[in-house]
Order: sequence, then structure tokens, then C-alpha cells
Amino acid sequence: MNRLVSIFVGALAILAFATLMLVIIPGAQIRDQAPTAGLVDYSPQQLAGRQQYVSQGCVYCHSQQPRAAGQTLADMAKGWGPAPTASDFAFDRPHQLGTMRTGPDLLNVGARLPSADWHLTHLYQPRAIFDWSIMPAYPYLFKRKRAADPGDVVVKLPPEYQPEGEVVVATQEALDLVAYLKGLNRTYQQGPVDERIRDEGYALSKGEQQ
Amino acid sequence: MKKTQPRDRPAQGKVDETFDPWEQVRPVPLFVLAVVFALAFWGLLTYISEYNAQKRGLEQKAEANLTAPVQPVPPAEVRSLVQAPGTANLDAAALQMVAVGKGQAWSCASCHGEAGQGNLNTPRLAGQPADYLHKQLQDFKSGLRHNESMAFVARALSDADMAKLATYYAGIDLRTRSAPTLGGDLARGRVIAEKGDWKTDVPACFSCHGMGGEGVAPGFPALAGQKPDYIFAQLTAWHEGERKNSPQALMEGIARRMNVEDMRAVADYLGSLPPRPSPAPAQAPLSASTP
Amino acid sequence: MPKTIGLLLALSFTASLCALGFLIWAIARRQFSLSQRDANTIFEPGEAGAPDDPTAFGRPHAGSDAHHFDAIRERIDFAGRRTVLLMVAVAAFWLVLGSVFGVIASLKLHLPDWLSTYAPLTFGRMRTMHLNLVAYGWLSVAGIASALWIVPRIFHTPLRHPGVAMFGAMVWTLGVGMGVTAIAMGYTQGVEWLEIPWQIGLLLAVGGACLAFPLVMTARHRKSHHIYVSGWYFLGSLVWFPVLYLIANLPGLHAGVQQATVNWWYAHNVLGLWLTPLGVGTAYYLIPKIIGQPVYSYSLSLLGFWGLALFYSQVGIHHLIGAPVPTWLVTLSIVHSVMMFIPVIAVAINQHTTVARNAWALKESVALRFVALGALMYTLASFQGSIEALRSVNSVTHFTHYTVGHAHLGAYGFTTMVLFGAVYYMLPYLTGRDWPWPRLLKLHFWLVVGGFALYFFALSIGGWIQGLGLLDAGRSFEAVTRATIPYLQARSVGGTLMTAGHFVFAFHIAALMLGKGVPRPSHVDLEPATVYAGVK
Repeated sequence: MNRLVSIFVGALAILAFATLMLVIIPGAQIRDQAPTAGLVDYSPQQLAGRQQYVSQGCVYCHSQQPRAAGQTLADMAKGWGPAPTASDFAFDRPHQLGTMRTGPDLLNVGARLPSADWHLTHLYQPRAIFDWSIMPAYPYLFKRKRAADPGDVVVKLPPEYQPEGEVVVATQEALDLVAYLKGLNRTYQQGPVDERIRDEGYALSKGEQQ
Repeated sequence: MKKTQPRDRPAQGKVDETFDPWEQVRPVPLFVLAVVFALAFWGLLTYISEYNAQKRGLEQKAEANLTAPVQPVPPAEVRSLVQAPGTANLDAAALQMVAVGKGQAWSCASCHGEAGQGNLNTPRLAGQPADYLHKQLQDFKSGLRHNESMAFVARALSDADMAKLATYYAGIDLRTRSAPTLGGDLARGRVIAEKGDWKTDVPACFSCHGMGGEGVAPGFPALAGQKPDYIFAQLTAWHEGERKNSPQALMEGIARRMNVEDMRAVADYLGSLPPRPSPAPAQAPLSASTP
Repeated sequence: MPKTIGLLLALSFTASLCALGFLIWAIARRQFSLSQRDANTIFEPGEAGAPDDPTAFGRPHAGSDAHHFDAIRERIDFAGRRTVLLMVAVAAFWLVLGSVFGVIASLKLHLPDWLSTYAPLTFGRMRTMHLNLVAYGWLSVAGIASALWIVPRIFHTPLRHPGVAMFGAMVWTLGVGMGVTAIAMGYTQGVEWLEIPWQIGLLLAVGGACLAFPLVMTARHRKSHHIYVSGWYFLGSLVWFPVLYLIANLPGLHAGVQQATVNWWYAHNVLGLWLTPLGVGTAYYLIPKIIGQPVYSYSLSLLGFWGLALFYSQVGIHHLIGAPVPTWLVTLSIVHSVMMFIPVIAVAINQHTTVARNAWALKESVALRFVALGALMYTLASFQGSIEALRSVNSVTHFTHYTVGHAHLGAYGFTTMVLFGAVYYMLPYLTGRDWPWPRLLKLHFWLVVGGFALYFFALSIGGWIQGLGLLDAGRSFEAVTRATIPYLQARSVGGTLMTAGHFVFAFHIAALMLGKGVPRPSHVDLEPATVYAGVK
């Protein structure tokens, strides 16, 4: 193979074909669908919270894509909720589907753990609740004060994590992030089966259809 | 493999910096061609089998009737509790804990809902037998039942607090039920709930939990209208040995004999049943009227 | 719906088969034949085919032809010399910094309260900074440096426009530095491998273009009739990476699951169509060069290159098996992942048989040890990847530390090892001095090999256990997490050993560049490149 042009053209043509198959066609198929009925766009506070989620790098430990029953019932048994379809992520910019489960899946954490106070405690110090947790603590999303001012949200902590003579108060970033987490709830009814875009390969190989 | 160029083995230790790498002219080994064809064939088979499976799946869906006839489930409306006249004995301390929490403990309603209706795999508390709820809180505190969030809460509660909360929730008469969320086979779930599966020594749920799954105080909680994800999670937890606090280890044994598909089926079915007040409630129920 | 899916799959499959069939037919019909005359044109006069490696010390040189040829050869190196040296120094620095961040991230997974007070040090940012530093800082920069050094040699003509390359290297480095700082401050695009904000990414685009341009110009003005296989890989990567980077980074275009498909089309192609060609191209040059034997089969090298292009480009969605993406797309990627056996076997035969038949060369040359080990890891990582893409295996390994182990087998076990070998081989030529302390080469080797073995086995075993636990309905998340801790701790130990090796590497490079080391006997006084100013 001795011609430069053939290498360049061949290489580009092959990448173009791959782009067609992996980006353009699936993109058209996915974009063709409206957001799932029941999916609501994020509120401004939730968007700010989502920005926190992205900025802290939560996606590197947490997924947002529970697996379908056709593949395993283990995700369902943990209360992670029903497997989503592509149209459930219509408002996600950027997507946070995630590829690691160092921590649990969070797509339906707003349904499973709707308590804002729980999340504030957990974000400030995960080991206050789960002594085995390896999740980072986020003390810099909180402020410590002598006494809470009116309108402050005080974090509930057990005595061993309560700072001496101080209260821990949530900053706006923490409250935004919690608002986002509370909004993570995709347990609404899905649309008709044939229109759902998701990987059914496991179910198919077992001879079932979702 | 044929050598196309005979070459003396170069003496070790000679360094010559002028050798310029080049490729010998040799045909592709036959074994590589065999791999190419084998993989191409496998790829073709994979595509074909998936295509067929999808076609078959869609056809099956058209024919099969997967759902047993269930009353149409209304959307999960939860009417907020109205303090009806004659309920002045509603405990203020209990209301405080439910709405605001106590000490380090978060408010019960913040997870379990305004009326104790539960959410996803957070259980419904409304209408559960008071003694059952009390025992669970004690077990969370002692560690006999393992749940970190509930242990966190229970540590802030005295035994008197627990009794008040149990009474409070037992008195809530909430008639909503849960839509099946697990995709379980409702017909199969009904069979297990009503008759059991004696081939595997699984008794009917109703034989202990009440004829309509409404629970029997003090030991058998209400299952009708309970969150399916919660029931399923508990059954799998008993199966795995993660939960160990049922009287006489009854549920541990039963769950261990169930397979996971049956657990899913029965959880969905039970959740879809209309709850009724348990017999012998601790106090007169609040009447929150229902659709 | 199945009709469309069937059609799409049939289209892809047919296209791939046609391309492959054409290739095999062309080879069989000798369309790509390389005659003996052609072969001879790529020899320099005076070729002797004996082992060649400046890391084998104290050996005499053969023949007066070789001596004359030497001078020519060194002048070919001269034009790009400063750029390559700068890039190697910068790459080594990014490697050390990136490795330290990697160890910090690893430690935080079992010491979560360590250094938790400051936002830039949180795991989510440390891990991201580590990835971007080693991928765009170390691997890309060292890989391009290697290409800048090898391409003039295979084309027998000095690097054109070395000033542009130098400028490009500086702009690229600025982009990496700014990008990682931005991530530390919380400005991230939030998409794996694409975290650097696109405004800073423009610097990478400009820098990359300035680095590609001289290589393409050098190729255009080549003196050799034949393009050696390394050239295909480098040139291919030069067209592939810009396209990938541009499309993936276009602001405002991608959202939701469609963005996820772009994400993994991009990320896996950065591995397969950018880093892999840099590594394979380098190995294809260095293995025969050091051993003094030609590559086994030209046809296999063709099959390897075009097979890589065809199959690797479509495997990306195997990162999304079981995700809310179309089934046909996942199946497509799985089939292509398995088809990757073909180019990987082709490259393996070409590279490993050459080494296996000349095992004595491994004793002579530490650089070859790195390169050959790296090439072997490429084969193993690819085989592992093909198997990991099968649904039955992926069900266990998806979302676990196993995948991290696999990723490092490719990016570290393969590409990094090959580049270590390349740096150890190139620098004596570029500086005119031998490595000051030969023992440090071996120390580096054993630190990284030992460290990485621990790293890889810890994560693979731990990840597999984690995956099985996650599939167990009713098993608590606590049980799964506790089970992984000892393996995460072992990984920290392995990573620390690897980082220690990198410090040795960087220290040694610094010492050599700052003047330590015995001048090489074959070193000819380097004259300015005015001799070639008039050459087109």
C-alpha cells in the first residue's frame, strides 16, 4: 500500500461508516421520540443541582441506568426502580448514565429516598449513616456556625459527627444538589412496549420479551 | 511455516544501527483465514437469531395475556390527613416526630410520605399492626433487623417514642393501593398468595397474613397495598439471609424456598390488592375517605 | 421495528464482509504485492540485519557502510530533535503528575475521609484529572513524539516544518494544563474522556493540527517508495483523532442517550483509532529494528490495519450493554468486538513470532523488553476485551472494577510499556549520550511490571467478585462493597509501585537531558539543518 491518498480516503471512509452506524442512525432513532409522558424538565434549582452533580464527578461512581428484569432481578431487589428507556433522558445535558457502580444506581433515588434531610446528612458525611461506605464526604458543601440563622437548613448529625458547639448548615449548592437528587424519579408508567428504546438483548436471548 | 529467506543467526552482541524494518512477502496463514470465516459465520448467526427473537417476541406479546384481570388502579392519590373531630387523642409528640423528626432522626414523613404511604422500596406504614411496627423499630435499634437508615432513626427514639409512632401509624386508614411495578406475573402471584406452592413447601401468604392480606396483629404485617418493590426487597433479603428477624424464622425459611420470579409475582399481586383495616386495631381508625 | 433493525444489521454486516472480502481478494491477487525490488528500496545500503539498540551497551559497530549510513541517519533525526525531546520531557512530567493523582484517587476509595476537605481533591475530580493527564498528557504526547521520530526514519527524509510541530506541542501542552486545572476547579463537560471544556479543547485541536501537518508533509515528500506499516498506523491516527474530537466536542449538539452513544463512540475510538495505532505503529518499527529481522508477513500487516479500522471503529457501544440504547446497536458492537480477534491475531503473529524466534534480543535490550511486553499486552487486552463484550460475561463485569483493570491493561500494559521502550530507545540518538545509569532501566522495568501485575490481578479478581455480588438479588450493597476493599487496597499498592517506577523514569530522562551520560561513540557532530533547507 504505497499511496497516501488511499490510506487517508480509506481511513476516513471507514470512520464515516462507523459514525453513521453508531452516531447518526441511533441518534435519529432516539431523537425521533418525544420525552416519555410523565417526564418533566428540570427546574432551575434542579439544573443548578445537576451542575453540582456533574462538577463533583458523581457519575464516576454512580450509574443512572438500572438493569431490566430480562437481564437480572438484582437491581429491582435493591429498589433501584424499573429499567429506563432512551426517552427518559431527553432533558439530560450532559447525560450521566455512568459506567461504574462503586455506589448504587441513582436514577430513582428521589423515589427511594425522598427525604432532603437524609441527603444532607449523607452528603456531609456518608459514614454517619453507613459505616462501611467509601463515598467521599463533602464538608465543603456545608458551613459550620455557632448558631443557625433564620432560614438556614441545619443538618441532622449523630453525636460522633456533630462538631463541638457548632451546627452544620447547608449551603445553596448543597440544597440545589439535594433538589436534583429528589427529582431523580423515573418510576412513572412507560409508554407502549414496541416504542421503548432500550437494549433488550438479554431478554431476547432468554426467549422473553419485556 | 516456510522461511522465505534463509538467514544466519546473527551473532549476539553485534549492534548495527542501519537495519531498516521491512515486511516480508508471505501469504496470510490459513488458520487466520479460518478464524475470519468462523467469526463471520458466528456474526451472521448472531444477527439472524436476534432478528428472529425480536420478531417472535412481538408476536408473543400480541397473543399472550400476561395480566390477570385486576381492578383498574387509580393514580396514587394520597389525601392529606385531616384531623377529624373526635380525634383529640392524636399524640402531639408523634405528630412532631412524623413531621419534623427528633434529634438526629429525620422526619418519618420525609421518607415514608405524608400519610405513611411509602414510596418505591420504602414501606407503607399506614394501617400496619402497632405491635409489629413497634417490634421493627426495636429490632432496628438493636441491630436484629439490619437497615442503616432506620438504625440511625431508631437510635434517637426511646421505647415510649416507638410506641407512640406505632400507634399513630396503625391508626391511619389509607385505602390506596399500589400499581404493579415489577412486571411480575399477577396470575401466578395470586396463586401463591391464595394457595401457596406446596411442591416447594411455600405456604399461601394468606394463611398467615389474613384472608385478604390485611395482616394479623401482632406478628403478621399487612401485605395488601404494600409497595411491591418493598415486598420484593424483603423476600430477597430473607432469601439471602440479610434479614433475620421474623418470628420462628418463618419468613427466612419460606423465602429460601421461593424462586426469584415467584417473589416478583407475589410482590406485584399483593401490592395491587385493596387494603382493609386490620382486625383489632389499637384505636378507632381515622376516617380518611377514599375514592 | 424488527424490519428496520434487521436491515441495519444486514447493511453493516454486508459492508464489513464486502470490505474484508475485497481485502483478502486483493491480497490473494497480489494487488498489494511487494516485489523484491520494492523491498530492497526500503533498505539503506549497507544493511546487515544484526540487532540494533543503544540500550545494549558496549558493543562494537559493524562495517564502514554502517558508519557512513549512520551520519545520514542522524541527520534525518536532527530536524525534529528539539521537538521530540521537549515532548518526551513534557510527557514524562504529565505521567508523573497523572500517576500521583491516580494513586491519590485510588487511596481515597478505601480511605474516604483522607483529604476530603478540599473540592479539587475529591475523588470525582482527582480521578478525572488522572485520566486526562495520562491520556492527553502522557500517552498522546509521547505517542506523537514517537511518531515524529519514526516517520522521518521510515520515509528516509527529515521532518518537514519542525517549527510548526514545536508550536503545536506547546499549544497542546497548554491545552492539557489548562484543561486539567479547569476540571480541578469544577469546570467539566461531565462526559467521560471529554471532560475538558470545549473552549480549552480548541487548544488541543489547534495543537494537534500543528503536530499533524509536519507529519503529513514529511509523508508527502518521502524518499522511500513503499510506506512501511508503521506509517499507515500513524497516518490513520492523524485523520481519525481530529474527526473524533471535533464531532464529540461540538457544543450544544448532543444530549441524553444520543450523547451517550457519541460518548462511547468517541472514547473507545480514542483508544482504538488513536492510542492503539500510536502504540502498534511504534512497536511495528522498534521490534524489527532492535532485533534486526523483518516483520513476518506483509499481508498480515494489511489485514491487521484494515481490520482494526473496520472493526474497532464500531465497538464503542459495548460500554452500554443493557443500557437504554437500541438493541441492534448493542449487538452490532458486540459482534464487531468479537471480530477484533482477526486484526489482533494478525498483528500478534507479525510481532510475537519475530520476538519469540529471537529471544536472545530480550536479554540484550531493555527497550525491547518494554516494547515486546507491551505488544503482548495488546494481544491479551484485546482478547480480554472481545470476551468481555459478550453479554454473558458483560453482565458480570459491567459497572465493576474489572473494567478499570481491563482499561489499564490496554492503556498502560500495552501503550505505556511500548512508549517506555520507545523513549529508552530514542533518547540516546537524540541526545548523543548513553543512559547514565543502566541499572535504573531495570529498576523501572521491575517496578512497573510488578506493580501493574498486582494492580491488574487485584482489580480483575475484585471486580469479578463485585459483579457476581451485584447480580445476586437480595445481596446487600454493603456486602458487595466490603468484599472489594482488600482488592482496592492491593490496587493502591500496585499503583504506588508503578508511580515509583515513573519517578525513576522521569529522573533518568532529566539527568540524560541535562548532560549526564557518556557520549555515544557513533555520535557524529550534529550540523545545522541548512544542508536540507533546499530539499523539497
